[in-house]
Amino acid sequence: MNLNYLEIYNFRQFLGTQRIEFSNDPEKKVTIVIGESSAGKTTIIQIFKWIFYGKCNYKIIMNETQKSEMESGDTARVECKVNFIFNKIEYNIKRSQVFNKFSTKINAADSVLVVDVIVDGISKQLTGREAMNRVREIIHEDLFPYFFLEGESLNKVGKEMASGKSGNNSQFAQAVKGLLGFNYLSNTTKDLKTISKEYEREIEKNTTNTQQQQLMTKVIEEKESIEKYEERLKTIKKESEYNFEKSQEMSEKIVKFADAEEKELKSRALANELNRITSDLMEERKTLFSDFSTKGYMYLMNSLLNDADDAFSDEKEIDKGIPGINAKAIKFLLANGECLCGKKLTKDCPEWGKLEKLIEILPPKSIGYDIKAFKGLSFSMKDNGEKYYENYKKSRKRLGQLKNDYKNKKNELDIINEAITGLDEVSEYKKLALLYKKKYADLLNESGTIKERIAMAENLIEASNKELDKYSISNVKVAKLTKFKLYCDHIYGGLVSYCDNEENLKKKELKNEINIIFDKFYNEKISIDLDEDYNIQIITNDNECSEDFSSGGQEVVIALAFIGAIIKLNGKIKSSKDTKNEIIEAEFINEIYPLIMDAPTSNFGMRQMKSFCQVMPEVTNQIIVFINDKDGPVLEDNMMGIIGKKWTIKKLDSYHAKIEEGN
Amino acid sequence: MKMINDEKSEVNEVLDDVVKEIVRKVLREEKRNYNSKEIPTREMASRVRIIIEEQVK
Amino acid sequence: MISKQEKNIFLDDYTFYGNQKDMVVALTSVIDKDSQSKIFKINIDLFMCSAIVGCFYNKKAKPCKGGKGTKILSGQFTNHSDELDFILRLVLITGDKDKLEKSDRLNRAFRHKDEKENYDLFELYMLGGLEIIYNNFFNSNSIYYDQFLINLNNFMEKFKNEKDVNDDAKINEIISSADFF
Repeated sequence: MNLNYLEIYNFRQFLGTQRIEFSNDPEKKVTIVIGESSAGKTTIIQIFKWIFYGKCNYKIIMNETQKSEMESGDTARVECKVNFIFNKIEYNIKRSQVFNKFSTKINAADSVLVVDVIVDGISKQLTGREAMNRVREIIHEDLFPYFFLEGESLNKVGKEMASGKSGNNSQFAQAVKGLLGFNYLSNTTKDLKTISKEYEREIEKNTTNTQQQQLMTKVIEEKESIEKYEERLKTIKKESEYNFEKSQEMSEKIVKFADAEEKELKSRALANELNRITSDLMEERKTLFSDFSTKGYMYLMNSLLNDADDAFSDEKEIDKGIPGINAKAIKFLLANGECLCGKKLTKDCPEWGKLEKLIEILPPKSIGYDIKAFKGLSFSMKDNGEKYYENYKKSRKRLGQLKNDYKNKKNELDIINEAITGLDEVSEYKKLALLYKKKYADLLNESGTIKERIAMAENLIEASNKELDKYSISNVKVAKLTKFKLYCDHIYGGLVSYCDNEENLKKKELKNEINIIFDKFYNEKISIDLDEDYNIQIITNDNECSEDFSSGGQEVVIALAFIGAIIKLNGKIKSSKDTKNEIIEAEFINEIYPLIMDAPTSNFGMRQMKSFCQVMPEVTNQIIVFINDKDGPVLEDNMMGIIGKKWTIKKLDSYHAKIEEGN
Repeated sequence: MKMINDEKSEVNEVLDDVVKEIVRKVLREEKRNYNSKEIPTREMASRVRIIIEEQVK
Repeated sequence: MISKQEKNIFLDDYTFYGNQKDMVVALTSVIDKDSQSKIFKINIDLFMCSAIVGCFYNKKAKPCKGGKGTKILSGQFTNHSDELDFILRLVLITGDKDKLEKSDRLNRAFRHKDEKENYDLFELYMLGGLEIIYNNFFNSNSIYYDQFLINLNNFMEKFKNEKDVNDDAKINEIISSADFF
């Protein structure tokens, strides 16, 4: 398929006739459309959708200005047209819608689809149902999102694929099957199965032989049971996946909190330590001052003690006495009134005064002893004073230390406490984890039992069928029905095995193609594996790369790789030896679809951007990229040689945009 | 009165031509319907059955 | 003869009045709720310390009179009689350095210790010292324990013997220049 141009008339912000022509140059296959955000890039992809299917994401497709300027009785028209070549035939697909205003209300008529099919210059017009069918044949609605990639859908598809949650019945799996051409085939096989069952029932009803009938009934019943069992198995699978995931989730939470439990213990220990430190601190504080109170004075008196020492240097002077003579002796002399030398002593004589004075300084009135005692005390005071001072210094140091300890431990405690939250939840999580595990185990058991039952039923069916083969066909009707059923079953078997085979082959090819594209992006460090349900498993061979990979943008890469691979597969023509397959093969269309992408690179880093620009052109014949003005220049630089056409959407105001070629 | 097994072997002989025809017709119908979505599944199955019975006659 | 009983302030209860009472109360009250620290545990401790401080700074103050007072009970004096005697002697030996000769100071300290004048002198120095101590600890910053500690440290620094300081300096010099490490 090669898009030629898109023509827009009055669709939302695109007022008047505006046209984008797409590059079909095989050397320069990229058309780039740059527009600032909300200029209208996304609108254009919606326009394609609207043209093909009459649906888009907008409620109102009229231009705002046009809408507001309408008066009662006026009509307005919105019309869009796309021209392309498909399977060597030119198509003009046009959709138009008319709007009428009556008084204040605007009515929208149904949109009209017209398909012009131009073969060898002769044009044939299709309308109504025929037109719709033709469009679907060319690009089925289910497949549209995979070729017309809206920005978000790229991420969504990529995410779906990367998370492995696609599942056999998911939209995605269906889409893939459709892309590979299997969808209507699976419908066919379903129908054939239904018909086969119908035949079975009718045969049973028309069989007159009761034994035969019974066996047939049994077979039908067992087949129904098997169906029920298989349904149940599907449900069990989903449920057990869910329970498994949830129990994992709980375990992770518990582990995170086990850490918290440890922290809680540490926090309590720290709190206790803090209390201890606090009480030590308080003790120390009190002691510091109480020691000062009781002993401080001894240190303070140091200077005075030195002064006293100084004063004692005169001691000898004042303590002059007469050796061997004490006060008692002098008193005796005075009492007797006679001195040692024999002189008479009377109160009025001058000697009396001198002798009285002596009494003052002779023992026991001498102060030497007292002074000695004082000096001794003074020495011990000095000593104690110094000891006190030393202790005081130590005490202050300890105080400082305790303060520090306190500060540090408090810090630690605060940090730990911040990290602990909701410890009560742990027990909840533990409970839930057990519940989920149990449920999972129960489901596993049930699934085992059911599988056994299925096996038993299958055995029963086989045995019954063997029995039945021994019987003869009872009447003409039954004979006919049997014949029909045989053909039906035979075709069914053939189709199913063909489908399985083909699907497996196509899956392998798909996987290969995806990996080839992946290699171009990631140099063989990452590969993918597809399982039977089309779930993608990503295998990384390089730690560095896996980080790079999971840091964003990879979903887009996965999606692109996948789509690229599908496009490539679709483009291949296969030759087949099996005659039966020839028929089916002929029904397949081998067309290479273009890729239309809206803002594919918004999550890309530099490296991914480069790879993207290298790989994308390899994947298909025509690429149209809508991109914002930030990424646009980068894309241009990287794809310089292969950009065939460039367009810019200029935002005139919130309701008007203009498409211009070039810058 | 034919045995079912006989019936089976007879079918095997004629298989290729008739089967080809059936497959061709059925697949065309199915594909058409897949694109147009006109016909509900129930009815589709009946159509396929009719094709088979027409061809097998 | 002088009567030993006369006005020996170490024998009876002693009462602080007015300003001085307030200062005593402040210095013996709790300064830090958390630790229940007090600068001085009991009044007698403050009494002894004040006398030394007053003598060191040679500051005297007359006793305030009147109003409610705060006491030191005689029992406390008895408990600390040895220290009090020593401090009294020390004050008598070192006080009034500029007015009295060494011999006079020694005499009054050892021969005539119990004279009223001596006890009066002691009281004057004690009340002077009280004021100095109070002003040192209670200034505008004194709210938290840490500030009181700083004030204490500053106070102690002033009493550090010059000789000690020089010794410390010398020791530090040796430590830093010698090859111990």
